[in-house]
Amino acid sequence: MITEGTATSFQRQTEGLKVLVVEDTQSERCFITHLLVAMGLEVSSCGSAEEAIESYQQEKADIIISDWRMPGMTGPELCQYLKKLPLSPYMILLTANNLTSHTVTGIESGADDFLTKPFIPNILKARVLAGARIVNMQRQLENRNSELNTSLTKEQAYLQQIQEDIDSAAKLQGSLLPTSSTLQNGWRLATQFQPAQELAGDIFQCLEIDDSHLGFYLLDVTGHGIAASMQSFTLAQRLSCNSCDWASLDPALIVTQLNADFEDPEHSGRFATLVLGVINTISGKVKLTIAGHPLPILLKGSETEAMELASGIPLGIDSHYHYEYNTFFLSPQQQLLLYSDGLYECRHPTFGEFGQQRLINTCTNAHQLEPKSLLHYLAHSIDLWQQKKPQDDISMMLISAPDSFATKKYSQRPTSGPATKDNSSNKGILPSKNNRNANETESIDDWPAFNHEALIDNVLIESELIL
Amino acid sequence: MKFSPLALDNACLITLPKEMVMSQTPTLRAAITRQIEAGSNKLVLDLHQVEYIDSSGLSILVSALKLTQKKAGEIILLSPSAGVRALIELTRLHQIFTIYEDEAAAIEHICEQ
Repeated sequence: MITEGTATSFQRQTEGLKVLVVEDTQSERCFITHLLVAMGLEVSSCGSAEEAIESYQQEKADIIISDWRMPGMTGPELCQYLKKLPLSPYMILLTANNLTSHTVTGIESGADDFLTKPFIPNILKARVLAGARIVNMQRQLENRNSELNTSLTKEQAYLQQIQEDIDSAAKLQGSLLPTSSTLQNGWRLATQFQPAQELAGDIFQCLEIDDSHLGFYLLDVTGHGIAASMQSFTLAQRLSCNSCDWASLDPALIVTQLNADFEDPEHSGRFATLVLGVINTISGKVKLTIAGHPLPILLKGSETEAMELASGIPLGIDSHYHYEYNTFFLSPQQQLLLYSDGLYECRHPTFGEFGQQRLINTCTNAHQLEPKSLLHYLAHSIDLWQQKKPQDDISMMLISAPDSFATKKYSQRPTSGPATKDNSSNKGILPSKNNRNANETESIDDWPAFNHEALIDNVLIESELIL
Repeated sequence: MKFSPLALDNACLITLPKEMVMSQTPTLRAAITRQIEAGSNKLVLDLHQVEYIDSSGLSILVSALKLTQKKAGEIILLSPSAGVRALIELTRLHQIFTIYEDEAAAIEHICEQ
């Protein structure tokens, strides 16, 4: 017996459920329909399987109770047909016997339940209830699925939006970087840039300060990705012509200022390494400040050497740090290679780190290549070493002195000796207004026959004269 | 990573793992930050197990240094391997970190009041 409680529960569980009765014998059809209506269900009925299919196409029933044997299409055949539809109803087949073969055929055709005629009304009610549970469960699953699909679609659209933003940011980042080109007075620039992810923490630039001075820098913010690239953008912004005192021609001053302004709002310990310099394109004099960055490599014909230069701590660690600069000369045909640590820190699973020595050897091997091809060759070597899985951003900037310097006097200069350190940032700085004059002065008459130190002293004396 | 308390209440020895690279950075930084926020402002960071560190790994050391300095504390780096030391020297961070080779000496130093 079904108790009062289950009756209420029956009503609750069968609420809104549509039942279709398929029975060719009219009296049977009326009897079953009557029983179901009495249970409070929404019932429709038809006399054949064909009619049932038509009716189902117009209005989807949740539960179909069908007779087994009917003229035309049989119950199992109707079952088979409906169960192939994407949204199939719960099927209860009515059988006149308990034959095992019937059960097998019924299950094979996809029936969910069987009811042997004649049946007690309460059994029908219980079977309908069982069907209702399944239908409700399916509905809930469908709802959840569609909710999940909706939010998945939203997420995907959101991700795609972010991806598009990142792509366009990456394009912007790439377009801000200088490309290989010929600069003033026969100097040349070659660059190579390979971000590990879309967005890099590396950034570099080369700019004309006036008609005889080039400024350049290469900086590398810890890590890569969005946060690192935002940080490097900010630093690059501070180093742009408008907001930075390049005209002072004093890299130490520029870097000290940049470091004082460095912000790390998350206290993540993020820092940046930097190499920043100014080249006099007429004399080849280079002033270079290094902040914890790998030391540049000097290429002179078939010889390659890592320069030995003084370096300060990275940017963003001590805002009161005072940076200094190195002074040295680039001779005609010499080249200065600036690069980020991604170039030699990449690891091979068996052979370990690429290393600075291997980098120098690779440069030596490729010294006959054109600047652009040389960088390409280096990038390719690194790419093979890390097995084409970029581990860190790689940027390179190769600054090449012309075959001979613009003024005749300078073409007689011997190639420079080892770079010397000029740790006194207060010496030898030309006030910006006098730059033009400085160059003119530098180009007047006898450049003495000299060793390298004499050359530097000479420049220092000249600048003092100008002052 | 292992945290070992020292004789002094606000001192702690932190043994860092084999790899300190970008993928581990957030976890390591959070753990060390939590330790400092919990009151340990005097730290010995034991690097002897560290075989590989990249610049984002170094940024953990820098953030720990800045945090402890803010809390009037101190940080000592202990026994970096040759490779790790080379990177620390390349980035000139040895100018701002005290580096010890001897564990007993490092602990004695950090526990001095």
